[in-house]
Amino acid sequence: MSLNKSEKNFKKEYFTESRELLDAMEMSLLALEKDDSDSDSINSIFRSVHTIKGNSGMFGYDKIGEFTHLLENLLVCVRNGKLDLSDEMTALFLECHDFMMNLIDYFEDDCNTDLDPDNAEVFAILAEKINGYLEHPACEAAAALSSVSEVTSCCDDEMTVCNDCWHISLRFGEKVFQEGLDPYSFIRYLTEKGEIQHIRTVSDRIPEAEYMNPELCYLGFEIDFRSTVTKSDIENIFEFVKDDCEIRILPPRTGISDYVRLIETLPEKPMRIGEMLREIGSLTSSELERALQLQSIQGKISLDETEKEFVGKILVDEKMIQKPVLEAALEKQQSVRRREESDRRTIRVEAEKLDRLINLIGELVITGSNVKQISESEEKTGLVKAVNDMSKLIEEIRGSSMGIRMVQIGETFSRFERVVRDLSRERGKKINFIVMGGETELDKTLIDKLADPLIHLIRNSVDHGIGTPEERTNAGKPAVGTLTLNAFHETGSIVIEVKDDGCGLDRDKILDKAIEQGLARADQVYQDFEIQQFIFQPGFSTAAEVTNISGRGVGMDVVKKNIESLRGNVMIESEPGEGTTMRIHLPLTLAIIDGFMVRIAGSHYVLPLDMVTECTEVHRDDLDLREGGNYINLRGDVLPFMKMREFFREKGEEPVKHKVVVVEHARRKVGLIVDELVGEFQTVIKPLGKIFNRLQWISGSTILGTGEVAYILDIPRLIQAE
Amino acid sequence: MKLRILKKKGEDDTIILTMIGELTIYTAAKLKTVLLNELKAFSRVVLNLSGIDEADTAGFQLLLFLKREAESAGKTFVIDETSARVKSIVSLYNEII
Amino acid sequence: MAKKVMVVDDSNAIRQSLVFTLKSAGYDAIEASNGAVALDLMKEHSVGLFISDVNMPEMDGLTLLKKIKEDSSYKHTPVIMLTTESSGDIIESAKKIGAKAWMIKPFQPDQLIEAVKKLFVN
Repeated sequence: MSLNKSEKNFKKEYFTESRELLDAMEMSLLALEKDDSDSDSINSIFRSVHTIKGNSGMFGYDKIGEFTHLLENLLVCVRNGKLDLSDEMTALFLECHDFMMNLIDYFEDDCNTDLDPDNAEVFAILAEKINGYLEHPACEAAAALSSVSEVTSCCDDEMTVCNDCWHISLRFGEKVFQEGLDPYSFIRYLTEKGEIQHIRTVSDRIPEAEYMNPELCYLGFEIDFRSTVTKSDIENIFEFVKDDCEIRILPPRTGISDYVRLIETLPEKPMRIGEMLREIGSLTSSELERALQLQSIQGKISLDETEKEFVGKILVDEKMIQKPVLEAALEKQQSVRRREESDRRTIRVEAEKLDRLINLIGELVITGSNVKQISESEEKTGLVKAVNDMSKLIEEIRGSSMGIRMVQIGETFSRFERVVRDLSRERGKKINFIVMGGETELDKTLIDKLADPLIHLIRNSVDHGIGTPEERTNAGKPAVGTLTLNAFHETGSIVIEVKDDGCGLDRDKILDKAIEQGLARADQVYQDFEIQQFIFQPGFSTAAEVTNISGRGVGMDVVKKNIESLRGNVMIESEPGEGTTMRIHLPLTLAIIDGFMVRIAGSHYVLPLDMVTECTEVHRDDLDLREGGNYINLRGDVLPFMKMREFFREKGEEPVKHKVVVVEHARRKVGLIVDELVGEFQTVIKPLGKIFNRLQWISGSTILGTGEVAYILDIPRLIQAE
Repeated sequence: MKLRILKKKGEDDTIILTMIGELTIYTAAKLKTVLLNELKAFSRVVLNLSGIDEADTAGFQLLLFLKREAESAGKTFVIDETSARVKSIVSLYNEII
Repeated sequence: MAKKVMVVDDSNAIRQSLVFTLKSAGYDAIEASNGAVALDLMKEHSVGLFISDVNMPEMDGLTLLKKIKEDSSYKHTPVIMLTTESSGDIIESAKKIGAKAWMIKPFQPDQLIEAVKKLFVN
């Protein structure tokens, strides 16, 4: 099967859109689980499924279409209140969601449109479950409607139409007989275009004998008409009488869902309600004209804002269209507007293209720095100025291109809701999951790499931190535990907290285990901080029994390693009985940093500028006086310091005046004593080769204009080591 | 003359009216007068429409009207025989008169 | 006695093609070349539907329409007016007289038959 390029693009779009719809569906399901009377969520789930169904049919993925159709039937029953939404049903919906996600993945990978045996089996199992619900007596009637060919979408309206018939309501003008227009010939003509299923003569307008004029027409007709013609075809039949006759043409029930689907496939451009309805054939031009006339008679102005109120209302009141069709049109109009708004703000760009741009800018930054250093040594004033200007521009380009990569973390966070839900069910726990700071922006690459470690921390909290409702009640806590995921900015870092109100880390238990596993010595006294660090040791586990999630001894060490590979770190804060907070600190971006360059003996080092809080000077003698204490007095505050010369075992004469760079990370400050402050410096972090992996205080390197290598100091580690 | 009406008295206060010609808007006004009078005079009015070769909705409406009048006056209004023309209208409109 | 369709048009070609179309569809049709001829003919025949052009010598379509509406035997008989222009003035005045059905030339034979079916009780 070969597809041309545009078809491929459409398919790609289909898969992307389906995933988005499924994400939306999952979020609504989770919302529904919290509040099962949330009709918005049911509607939103329904819309997602419905759209996927429509799209799948368009692209030939009939299996997805078939499945969504089935699911939709069940949703209709739930939405109409025919079936109550049970926890089991929500769970089934989630299963269906997962299955559809799998199908989307499967079909995208494979160019097939049919199912493999595994998927077919799941399909059958889920279909059986769904059908189990649909066999419920209350539901059978609703399902029967949809089993004909198309699903009945949203026809809980009061119209008494037969399911696949048009309903034509005619009230002839009094003068039709005199004008030579006989209703009989029109209605008979109707039978040439379809089949009259039922006709009822409405004769109650015939007046008292005295006033009854036999040459005037008092009759009306209610007709159920089965036909494949369009609404305007039907209207055309009555064109000669339309001026003095009331004609209402309502589409078949199945037609309603057709209209709803047609509305959904309308182009994504702003349209007025009337235009949309006319476009899909639900409203004929003359009906629209009449409605607009009525509107102006009622003195209502057709402004965009009031349009929704009035034209739509008139159309429904005048029985020109059914309410569900109007609602679908309004929904579409809203979604187009929303999309328009967001289109104005965002452009989708392939991540690959962006990565290439960032790489190039990285190179540009390095080259720019080289040029700057060379120009400074050349001492040509014109050149220096030009290079300075260029450097500023490069910096701006760097800044804004890094901004492009920034993505809100909220979307990633919301994925965890499902994890918490599934896990807490499995472990018999009740957990209220709170997400905060979802709008915090973070480098896209970071976000991608952060998901796994975060899931681990969350699982740990659910598994170890928060107890069962009984345990919690016994401990005098609310039965429902709270797990908070929070993101915020702090001194050039992103902080992400996973916080639970559980039992906290069991200090003694950890220590016992650590001693047992040979990580700690029984005769030594450990600080809380040190004990907490044990849980980051490979193979460490305190769980009494191993579950399929945590307690297998792989986890925290991997989390720590992953976070550190992102130049971040993990910290624990725990109060016994109060809860535990896992706090991840991360740099804002990965590839390029604003650095601050210092010299220590003969080497240059770069510190991430956003961790530098200030620079100051200390005389060598002042330091010596405090020897042993390793603290200096910084405007009355006690500041620990590290002599970097000693740290790196540099020999040679120290300068008389020490320069101190005060750095801060994770709420701890340290003064680093260096030989010289070189200045701010933009730098691209180059990962160190394998040889340098052992240099644990260095997180990367960069190449200076002179060709010299400068090392990037790993401040978080330095602070921890201090 | 578009319509001729033959009257024949029957038993039990019955009048049988045989109509020949048009049951249309052109004859409806006249028919209304004639038939309302007969309904006043007799308790049972029987129509033979087998001679009707033209009929339209105005005629059909008149039949509906007469049936209603008869019923509200507690009298009987029956159509005994019809032509194919009348049948086609009555059956299209799904009415039993 | 089945009623007939009367076609009134001064153009021989159009008249004949209309009559041909009607007869092919099973209607009994008679023809008149202008309004005056039509008035004479309708006394001899039983007409169930008129199809009339507007611009004709001797008696134009509007005058014919007026005469039909004044005739006690034909005042309730449907009339389809044929016109080449959709000029508002003529249509408006014709509507006042009582013409409800219009066909704009050129039209296809089946459009004509459709219109006839909607109006003609036979």
